Amino acid sequence: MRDVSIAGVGSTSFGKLPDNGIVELATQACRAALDDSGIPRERVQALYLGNFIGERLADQGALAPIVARRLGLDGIPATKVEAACASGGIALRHGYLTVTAGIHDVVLVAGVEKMSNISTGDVTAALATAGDEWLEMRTGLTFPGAFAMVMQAHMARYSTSREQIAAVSVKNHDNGAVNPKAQFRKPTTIDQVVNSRFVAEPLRLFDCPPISDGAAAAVVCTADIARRYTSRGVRILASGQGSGPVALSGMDDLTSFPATVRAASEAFGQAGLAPGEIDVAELHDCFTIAELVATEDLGLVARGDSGRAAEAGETAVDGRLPVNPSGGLIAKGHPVGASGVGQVYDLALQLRGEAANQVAGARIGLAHSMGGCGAAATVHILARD
Amino acid sequence: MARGDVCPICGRSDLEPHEIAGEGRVIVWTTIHVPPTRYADEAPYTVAIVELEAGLRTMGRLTGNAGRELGAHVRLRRVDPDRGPMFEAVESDAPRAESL
Repeated sequence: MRDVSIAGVGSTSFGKLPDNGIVELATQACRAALDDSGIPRERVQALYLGNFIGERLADQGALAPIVARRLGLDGIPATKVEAACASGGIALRHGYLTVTAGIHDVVLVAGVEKMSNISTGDVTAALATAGDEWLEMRTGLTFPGAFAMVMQAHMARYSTSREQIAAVSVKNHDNGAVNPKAQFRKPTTIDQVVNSRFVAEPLRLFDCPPISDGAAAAVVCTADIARRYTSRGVRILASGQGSGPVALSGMDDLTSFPATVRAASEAFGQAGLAPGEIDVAELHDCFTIAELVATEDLGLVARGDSGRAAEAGETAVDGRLPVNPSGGLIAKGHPVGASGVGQVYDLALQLRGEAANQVAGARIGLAHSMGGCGAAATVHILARD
Repeated sequence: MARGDVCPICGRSDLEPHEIAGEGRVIVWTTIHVPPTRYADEAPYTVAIVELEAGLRTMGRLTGNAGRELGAHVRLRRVDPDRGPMFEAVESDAPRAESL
């Protein structure tokens, strides 16, 4: 297995971007990543593109070959990867695997989604395709509804308070407020979160991410090639992936996602690191409760202790374990197929010392992407080269 | 589980339907205020995970306003062809009578 680095990253802003179609967004992010890496585009041997619902919301399939051609990369293998909101994380993993295995030397990894021009009802329905239609979603369950159930279960089991869960939203809005790429650039308060309107009881609007457009990309290559072109390469120390029940009624424990636990165990094993050695993390906070559960599943906090840790500021930028300094999906935005790569964009900036919410001395970072309500998850551990 | 599925415990695939009484307890519930387009006219409505006999768990609609609490006693009223299981709260904790 060869050492693998991220030689460059790029991202569009996340938000309502009416002037850009799905292909343009992906192309822009890829160009920015290539420019950032200094690697000429002719060296790119494959494209892995994460996208969840482009067929349904943007009427566009065959997205990877279209993007490759727009980039002047006709002929290279161009593959779209789909696993709901983990699509971007799994695209990165495939890029990493082909480089570490010696199949390719330089690949482009990207993620994209275009959602903001579609009605909330249609977006809700499209996202619900990540659930089990026959067993559950036909009842009218939605993704906010699924995580509302997780929230209720966590509150009941661990006495997690409404205010502790709201603290995640306040923290992530504070972080997003200073991220130039973020969709929400305004702080919020516990009062605003707990009094915002219900989306799916007990989950409220400010527990949720916005509906977003956006794309992000990374140039993944051997560590040797990265060093030849840039002094700002970021090593991929480990890549883990797991799957879990798609139906909530099939979960043994509604307060933990086995896909995340498995992906984390694989990644920490590969890297030879313990959760306590992570300096900064970008986690899949598709809802406030999802960030809390992720911090527990990743072993960053003890079971049941995530609410207390968030409320105590332990996951703030200046806390013991900074989580989602980018603003996370909640404030930065959640163009679902792009989010897993967007996290890596922000993490790379952190490890290069260039982030808007720079965590002092950040050397090792973790990215966690999840699809469905625990259907799929990836964990990547990155380090300053 | 459906006919032809593999039993996750013993690995056998010769599964058969088994009749159970349609009563159970609410494990978790949520009231949906932002619905998918196909149920736009029905919100707010409540969906719950119900644990039936022998630990069988299923997602279903919970009709009416009662039963929105953990552990609430509910029973299956019918299986809607589009929406799946429709449960209702059992007002008094009477002995289990109704079956599927």
